Amino acid sequence: MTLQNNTAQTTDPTEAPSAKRRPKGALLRLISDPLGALGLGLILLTVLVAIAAPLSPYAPSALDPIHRFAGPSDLHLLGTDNLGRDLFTRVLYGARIALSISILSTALALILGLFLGVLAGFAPRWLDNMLLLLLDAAKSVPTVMLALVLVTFTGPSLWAVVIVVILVNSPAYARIARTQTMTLRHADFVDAERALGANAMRIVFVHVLPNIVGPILILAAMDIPIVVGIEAGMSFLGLGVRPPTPSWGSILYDGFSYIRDSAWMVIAGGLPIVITALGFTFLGEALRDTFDPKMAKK
Amino acid sequence: MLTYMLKRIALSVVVVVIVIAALFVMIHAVPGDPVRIALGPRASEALIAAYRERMGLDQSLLVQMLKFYVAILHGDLGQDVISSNPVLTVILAQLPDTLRLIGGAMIVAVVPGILLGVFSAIHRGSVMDRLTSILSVSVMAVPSFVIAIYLLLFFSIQLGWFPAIGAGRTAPEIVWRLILPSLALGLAWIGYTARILRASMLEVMEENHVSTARAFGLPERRIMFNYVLRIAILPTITVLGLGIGQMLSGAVFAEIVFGRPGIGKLVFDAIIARNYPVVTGTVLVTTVFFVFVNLVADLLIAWLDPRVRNDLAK
Amino acid sequence: MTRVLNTLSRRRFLQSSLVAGAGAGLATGMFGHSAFAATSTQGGTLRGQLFADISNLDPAYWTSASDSLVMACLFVPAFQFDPHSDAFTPKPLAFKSYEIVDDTHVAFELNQGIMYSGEFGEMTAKDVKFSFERIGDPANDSPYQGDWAQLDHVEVTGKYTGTIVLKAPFAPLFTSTLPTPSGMILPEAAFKAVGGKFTTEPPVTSGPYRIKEWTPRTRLVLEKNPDFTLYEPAFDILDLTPIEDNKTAELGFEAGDLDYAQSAISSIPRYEKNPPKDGHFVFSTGLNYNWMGINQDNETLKDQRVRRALQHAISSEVVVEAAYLGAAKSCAGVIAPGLIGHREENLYGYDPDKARALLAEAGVNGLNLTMSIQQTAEDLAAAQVIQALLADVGVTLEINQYESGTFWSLGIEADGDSWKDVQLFLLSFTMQPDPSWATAWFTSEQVGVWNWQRFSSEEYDKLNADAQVELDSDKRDQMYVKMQDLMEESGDFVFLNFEPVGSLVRNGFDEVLRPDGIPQFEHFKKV
Repeated sequence: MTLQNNTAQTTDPTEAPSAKRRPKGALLRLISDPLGALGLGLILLTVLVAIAAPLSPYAPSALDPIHRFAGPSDLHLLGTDNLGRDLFTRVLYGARIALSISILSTALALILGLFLGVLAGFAPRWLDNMLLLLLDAAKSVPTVMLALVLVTFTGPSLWAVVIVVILVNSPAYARIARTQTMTLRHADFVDAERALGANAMRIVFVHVLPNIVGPILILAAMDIPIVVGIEAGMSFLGLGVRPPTPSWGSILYDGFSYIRDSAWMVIAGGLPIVITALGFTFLGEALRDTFDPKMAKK
Repeated sequence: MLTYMLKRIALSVVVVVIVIAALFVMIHAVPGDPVRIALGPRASEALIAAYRERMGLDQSLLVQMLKFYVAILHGDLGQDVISSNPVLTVILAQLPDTLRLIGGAMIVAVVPGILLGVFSAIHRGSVMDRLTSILSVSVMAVPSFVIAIYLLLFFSIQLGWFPAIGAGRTAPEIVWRLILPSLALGLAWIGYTARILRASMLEVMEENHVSTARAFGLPERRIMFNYVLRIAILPTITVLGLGIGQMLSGAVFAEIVFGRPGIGKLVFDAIIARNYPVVTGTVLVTTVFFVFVNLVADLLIAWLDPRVRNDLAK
Repeated sequence: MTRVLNTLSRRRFLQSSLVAGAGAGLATGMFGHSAFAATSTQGGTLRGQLFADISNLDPAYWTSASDSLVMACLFVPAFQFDPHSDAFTPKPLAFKSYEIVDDTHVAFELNQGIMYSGEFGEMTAKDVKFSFERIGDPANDSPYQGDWAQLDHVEVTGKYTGTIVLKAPFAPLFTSTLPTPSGMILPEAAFKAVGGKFTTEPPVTSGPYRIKEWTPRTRLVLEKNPDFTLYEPAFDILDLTPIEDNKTAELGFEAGDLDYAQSAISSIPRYEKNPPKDGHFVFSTGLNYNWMGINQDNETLKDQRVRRALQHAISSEVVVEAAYLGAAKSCAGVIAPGLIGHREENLYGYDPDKARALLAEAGVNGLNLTMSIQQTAEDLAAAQVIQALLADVGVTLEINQYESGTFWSLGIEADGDSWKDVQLFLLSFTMQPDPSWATAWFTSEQVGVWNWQRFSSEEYDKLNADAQVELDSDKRDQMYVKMQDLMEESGDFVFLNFEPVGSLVRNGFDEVLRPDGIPQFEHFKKV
C-alpha cells in the first residue's frame, strides 16, 4: 500500500464503493435487512407526516401568546412555543420543508456534480486540473464558514441553504463521475463506438451514467442527513428559512433562545432531525450492503 | 516522498489563495462594514471616512486583496476593524480554547472508538459487532449541534450536573467545562474511528504475516495487539487528521451553545459584524492549521508504517 | 441648577435590602467587633459580566456601554451619578465645588491630590480645559462633540480653578455631559506620549481602578488604584468577563462564576417570581427605546394613509407582551419614564377596522411589505406578532433578518441604495439620561443617516434645537412631548417599549446600579 493509496482510500469513510452490478431482488433484500427496513420505515414516517400535516387542527403560524410555553397535553401534543404556536403542527410542516429542501438541493447538487465530473473526465488535462482544484477549494472551506459568508451575500433564505448544499455536496459526486468517465473514456468498446460515430453525449448517457448511478445514489441517500443538518444548522444560526416558516432548525433555534423556559421547544425541534438522519443513514448503509456484497461480508 | 509533500503543500497554498479570493469577492459584494459599529452611532461621516481610509477599507477590492496577500508574507494578518488590535493577536488569544476543545473531542473519539473497533473486529459477525456498527452509524448521522443542545438541556439545565459555561480558568474548571462540548463534538467520530479501525483490522488480519504468527501458535491476544492493531491503526490517524478539520466547523456550534470563547465563536461574531480582516485571518489560520494537521498525520504514518517506509526507501 | 435634573425612580426588589441587612447583622454578631466587620467589607474580588469587550476607552471616541462603565473605573469625570440616589442625580466628583455664575458660565474648583499614573502628576484645571475642548473641537471629529456643542472655551483661573464658558445655555450639561465620559479629565501630556490617540491601552489612569490584565474577548482584570483618594472602592480586584449573550451570562451566574450579571430579557418574569439561588434579582427600566420605523420615502409607503393604517393595525401592547414575555410594557415615545419629555399617550392606537378603512380609502389592495430586523430573539418574536397583526388587515409581511454589520447600513445613504427599499424595520437606540439624546436622531439633517424613516419636519427641527438651550424644565418637557407628537403624526413611527433590564447579584454583594440598570462597578460594595 502506498501513501497515496492509503490517503485516497480513507479520505471519506462513508464514500461509496465502485459500481457493482445490481443483483436481482435488491428491494426484497433491502427490506429483509432489519437496518434497511428500519431506515425505510423512518423515512416513510417522515414522508407520511409531511403529507398529513394539513390534518392538524392548528395552523403552523397561528399565534396564541397567552398559552406560551405549555407542556405537552391532549390539546398540544408537544406543547407550545414562545408565541403559543402548536409545536406538533410546526414539526409536521417542518417535515415538508426538510424533505423538499433535501430533495431539491440534492438533485441540483447531483446534476452539477455529474456535469462537472463528466466534463473533467472528457476535458483536456489543464481544464481537468483546474476543475479538480476548484472542487478541492470548495471542499476545504469548513461548511459553517461557507454558509456564514454566503449568507452575507444572499441574505438568509431557503435558497442560501440550497446553494450551500450544492457547494458542499457536489464535489464528491463530481469525483465519482470523473473517475468513471476517465476509466470508460479509454475503454476499447467506447473507442469502437466512437469510431462508429457515436458522440460524447451518447457515451455519457449509455455507458457512464448507468455505471455510476448506483454508488452515487447511495452517496446521495447518505448525504440527505447532512443536508437536513445543514438546513437546521443554518436556521439555528439565524441564516436559514425566513420566519415564520416552521423549519426544524428554526424551531430548534427558537427553542435554544428559550431553553430555560421550556424544554419542549428544543426537544420538538431536534427529535425529527435525529429521526430523519437515522432513517436515511440506515437506508444508505443497507443499500451499500445490498449493492456491494464484498463490503457486506466485511 | 519529499516531492509528494512539496506538491501537496503547493496545492494547499493555491487552494488557500483561491478560498481567500472568493471570500474577498463575496464579502465586498454586499454593502456594509463594521466601521459604524466600531465608532458608534454618533460618529460623523467624516470620522467614518477617515477610519475607513486608515483601515484601508476604502480601497478597491483588488488593492485590498493584493495588500492582504503581501501582508501575509510578512506574517501580518491585518487589523481588527472594531478593536484595532492585530488580527493575529486576536486569533492567537482564542486559539488555545479551541485547541483544548478539539483535543477533548479527540479523546472522546479515540478511546471508545478504538475499543469498539477492536472489539468488533475480533468478534466480527456477532450481535455485539452488529450493534456496535449500528451505534457507530447512528452517532455519525446526528448533527453535532443537536447533540450539543440536548447535552446542554439534560446535563446542564435539567440535571444541573455540569452547570458551567465558558472555558474556565483553573485547571479543574477547564477540564470540567470541556466535558460536555467535547462530547458533543467528538461523539460522531467514535463511529468513524470504530468503523475505519474495524475495516482496516480485518484487512490486516488476512495478511500473510498474521497467518504466519498464528501458525507459530502465538496467543491470539498478542497477535491482535502486537501485529494487527499496530498496522491497522494507521488509516485511523489519517481520518482523525481530517476529523480535526471538520471539528473546527463543529466548534462554531459547540462554542455558541456552551458559551465558550474560541475560534468558532470569533469567526461567527466577525462575520455577523462584517469585520472582514478577522474573517479572512481566521479562515486562513484554520485552513493552514487543517493542512498542517493532515501533513503531520501523513508523516506520522510514513514513520510508523513499515510498508510505507519500505516504499519510500526504494 | 438642580431644576434641570430629572428623577427616575428605581424599582428595586425589596429583598435586596433585606438580604443586605441580614448579612451585615450576621457579620457584626459573629465577630462581635464592629471594626472587624467594617474591614471585612473591604478587599476581595468582584466577578462581573461586561456586556461586550472593551473596544475604545478614549473619552472622545468610546463606543459601547461597556467602554463607558470601564472608563468610569479608570478615569475621574467632573461629575458622577450619585451612587446613593435612586434617580440620576449628578454629584461633583473631580470638581470639589462649582458655581453657576450665569446661564453660560460655570465656575469650578478641582479636588486637590487627584494623581495621574506614571509621570503625569496631579490633575489641574489645565487638564479640564484640554479634555473638554478636545471633545468640543469640531476638528477632532469626536462622536460626542454634541455633548460640548455649546462650549466656547474653558478659562483657567488658577491651578485648580477655572470657568466653563458656553456660547449659549446648554440644558444637558449636568445631565449627560459632565457625569459621562464627556466629563472625564485626562492630561494632554499622556495623549502626546502616544501620538494623540489610544484605544484599549490607556497611557494614563487616575480613577479608583487601573488595568491589571486584559485578554481580549476573554477577561479584563482591574485592580485598585492605591493613589485614588476621592472615595474608597470596596474591592481589590474587579474581574470582568465580556459576555455579549445575557443568556450565557445568566448560566454563568447560576453556576457561581459571576457575582453580577444581566439576565436575558426572556428570563425576567421567571426571576421576578423566583429569585436565583444565592442571589437576588433587580428589575430596572432601561433608557434604550425600541420602535418600529416606516420609511416614508419608499414607493409603497408614500401615502400617509397607508402608514397611518399600519399604525392602527399594530397593537404595541400585544407585540411587546409577546416579545418580552410580559417583562416590558408598551410605551408612547422615545423618552423613558422619569425623564423630562416622557410621553404617556399615543395618538393613533390599535384599531384594525380603521386600518382596513384607511387602506381601502388609499386604494391599496393586497399590500406586500418587508420588515428588516436583527437576529435577536425579541426582534424575531415581535416581528412575527406584527406579521400576524398585519395579516389581519390584509397586509402580507415578509421578515428579513440581517447580521448586525449589514443591518446598520440599511438606511444609510452613504452605504448604498438599500435606504430606498427598506420599508418597515425594528430599531433600538441607546440613550443617556437627557431627552436631547433621544430626539437628536430624527431631525431632517439625520435623514439618510440614522433617521431611516426619513421623517422630516421643520417644526420638529426647530423644537429640537430650542429644547437644548431651554433651561426651564416644564417648558422643556412640553417641547419634547410635542416633538414625539409630530413623530407619530407623520405616520412613520410605532413606539414599542423601553428595554427592560434584569440584574442578578450574588448574596454578599451590594449592587450599585444606575436607574436604567447600568452597573457602577466602582461603587459596588460588600455586605
